[in-house]
Amino acid sequence: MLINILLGVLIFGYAGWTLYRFVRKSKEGKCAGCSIKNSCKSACDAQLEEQKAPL
Amino acid sequence: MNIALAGNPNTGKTSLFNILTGSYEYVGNWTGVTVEKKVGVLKNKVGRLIDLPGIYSLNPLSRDEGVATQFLLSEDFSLILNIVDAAQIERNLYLTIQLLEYGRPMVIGLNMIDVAKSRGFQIDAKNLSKRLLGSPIVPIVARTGKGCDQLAANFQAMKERKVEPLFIDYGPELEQAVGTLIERLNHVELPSKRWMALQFFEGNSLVRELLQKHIASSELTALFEQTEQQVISGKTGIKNLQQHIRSVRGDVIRAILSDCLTRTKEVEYTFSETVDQIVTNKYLGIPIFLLFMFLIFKFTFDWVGTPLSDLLDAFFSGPLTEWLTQALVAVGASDFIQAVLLNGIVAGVGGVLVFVPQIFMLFFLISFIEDSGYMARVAMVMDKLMEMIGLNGKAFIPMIIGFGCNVPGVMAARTIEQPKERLLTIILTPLMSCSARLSVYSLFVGAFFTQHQALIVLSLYLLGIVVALGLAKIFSSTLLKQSSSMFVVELPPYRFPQWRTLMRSTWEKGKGFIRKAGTFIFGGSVVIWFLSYAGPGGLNVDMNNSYLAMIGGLIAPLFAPLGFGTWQAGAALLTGFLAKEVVVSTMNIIYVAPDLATLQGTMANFYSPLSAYSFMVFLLLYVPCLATVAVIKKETASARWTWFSIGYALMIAYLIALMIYWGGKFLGFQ
Ligand SMILES: Nc1nc2c(ncn2[C@@H]2O[C@H](COP(=O)(O)OP(=O)(O)OP(=O)(O)O)[C@@H](O)[C@H]2O)c(=O)[nH]1
Ligand SMILES: [Mg+2]
Repeated sequence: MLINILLGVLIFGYAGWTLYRFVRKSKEGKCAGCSIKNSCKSACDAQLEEQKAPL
Repeated sequence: MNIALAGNPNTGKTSLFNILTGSYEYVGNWTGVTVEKKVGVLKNKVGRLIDLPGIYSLNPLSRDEGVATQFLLSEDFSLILNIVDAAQIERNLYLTIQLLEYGRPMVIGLNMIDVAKSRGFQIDAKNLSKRLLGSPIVPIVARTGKGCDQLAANFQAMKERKVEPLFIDYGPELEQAVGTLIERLNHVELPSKRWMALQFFEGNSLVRELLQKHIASSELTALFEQTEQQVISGKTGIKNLQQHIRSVRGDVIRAILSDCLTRTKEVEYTFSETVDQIVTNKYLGIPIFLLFMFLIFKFTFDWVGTPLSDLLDAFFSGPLTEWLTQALVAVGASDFIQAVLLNGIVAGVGGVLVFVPQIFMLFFLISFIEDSGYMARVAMVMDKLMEMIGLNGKAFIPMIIGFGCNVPGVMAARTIEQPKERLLTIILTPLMSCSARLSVYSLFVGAFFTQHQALIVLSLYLLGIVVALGLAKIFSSTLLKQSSSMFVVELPPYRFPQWRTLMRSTWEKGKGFIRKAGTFIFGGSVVIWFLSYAGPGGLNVDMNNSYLAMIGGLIAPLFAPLGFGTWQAGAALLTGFLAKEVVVSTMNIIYVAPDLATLQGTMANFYSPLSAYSFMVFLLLYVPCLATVAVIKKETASARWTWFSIGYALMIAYLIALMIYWGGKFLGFQ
């Protein structure tokens, strides 16, 4: 019984966590993993926005 | 200490970056591989190295070049590491000179010494260093790592050194204007005012933006026009300031090189030029490209990929399932746990992993094309065709990268200068068939088209290209009218790819696929399995009464005209929006089959070859996956265009699948 609960929690817990992370990561896009994203002015914030949006 | 790695495109910056930091960033033999800066820690831990996109000049033309200039303008770094391609030293020094004018300490890596030698270039590094403000110059071969340690040894000492900016005399008129501008900036704190002034007169838009914070735009314009008039009057052949500045710098460079460069032999026709006469031939170019693609799929399916996949499948469905069942019984796991593991996870994750050999094979071949230099030729061959539809050949490179995965494909569109062409490329790149979709094709062609696997898959890839080109034509003549831009793609020399680079870049592309199988596909499989196990009637219901059947059944009628109006197809396509491989997992779970062969047999009850083809076509086109949608949103910075890229894809997928299904029926296919 105990082993069933343990396996169940492990499997569903891990599954839920991976899904949550996938959706979060996908939404953040490329800059999320960058080590200088805070000071980076060329890609992640609005500095070049007018270049990005052509219309 | 931050070290900025700057240099012309395709000179081996990223190769050097990988060696000095021990990382595995993307290296390829064409210009515009790196489109976003990458940060890594030097192996000896003394500082961080920042790999920048390649630039020819500090005056940016496209967005990836903007990334580099913006970095040099606004970030904090203590040293520039300039990579110079020794085999094209004259053009490379143009950037070096501008960097020296900027006045930061600099170390120069003289790369591709091996290529330069074979072409008979002999460069006197000591003398050259003297002419370039004494910046240390170290000959290296970034590809093998030769000389890279000596290069790194210079960083510490150079960082402490105080350097004066390089001074070049641009003639009395311009010098006077530069003086005026510097005077106007007297009260503001700016690094390297002379450099700023020169860049401003060269037409650098980023510098102009910066200056506008201190000086009124109208005053700047007036000063610019007045100076331009003075400089060009009385000179023949010089039409604007930019040209004048270029020609002065060109003279300086030639003077330097006449001292430091000797050519020991003249090479008449290089190997690359000979090959190019055939592969970029007006008539043969496209057929040769198609032949290459066909061979790629032959390797992926018939010759190498499929036999390996079959072995893997035999292992999953045989020993692995057996061991797992025995282990579960031994520890006394309940039926529910056994079901989620075997029918959910093993079926879902295993079903996707089975295709790993094929996908790695495809990645290996794509890497080969990228690193050999053929990719730039494809762009050139496609240029004529692309021009007719309002794009240029350069737009084809993001599309080829999109064959691996659409996300980097969309990113690669940054190399395109024209904003509208760039937007067009971004929204069309998702039509390129990515490797995730390949796993779905594998499943279907194995079931329905065993004789012609490679041909069927090739037809799907081509359909993606043709639809993209057709839509480009439509969009560029309606929504996105524009003046066409000039095509400048550099043809790099052919290089035989290094095994190490090939293996690495195959692994780098493919590992995401495996990681996804272990994380997201795992989670997705559990959820999908649960939805197929539970229903309004409780747990362990007949699958046709499950929640999954209800959800899939809701949209299934929509697909009936396309030939696959089953709830299973509906459910699979819904989950496929998250990631296209999930379609394979869903099918494995829904059609509960112990192995690939049985699954493919079961599917024959639900699809005919024609409806299977129609399904693949729909899957190819219907909607970019979640990650791609997110990156489109980032790159276009517009919710409207993001929704547009989803909406038009759905419509076009439906239309074309409909046409194929009914057209096929009409022609008597089954
Ligand atoms: N023969 C030779 N090839 C080299 C050397 N260094 C790099 N290469 C090759 O040159 C090509 C370009 O290398 P990358 O490191 O991607 O160049 P990059 O400067 O980062 O290019 P961008 O990111 O486009 O600016 C690759 O095919 C490398 O294998 C070298 O020293 N000798
Ligand atoms: Mg690079």
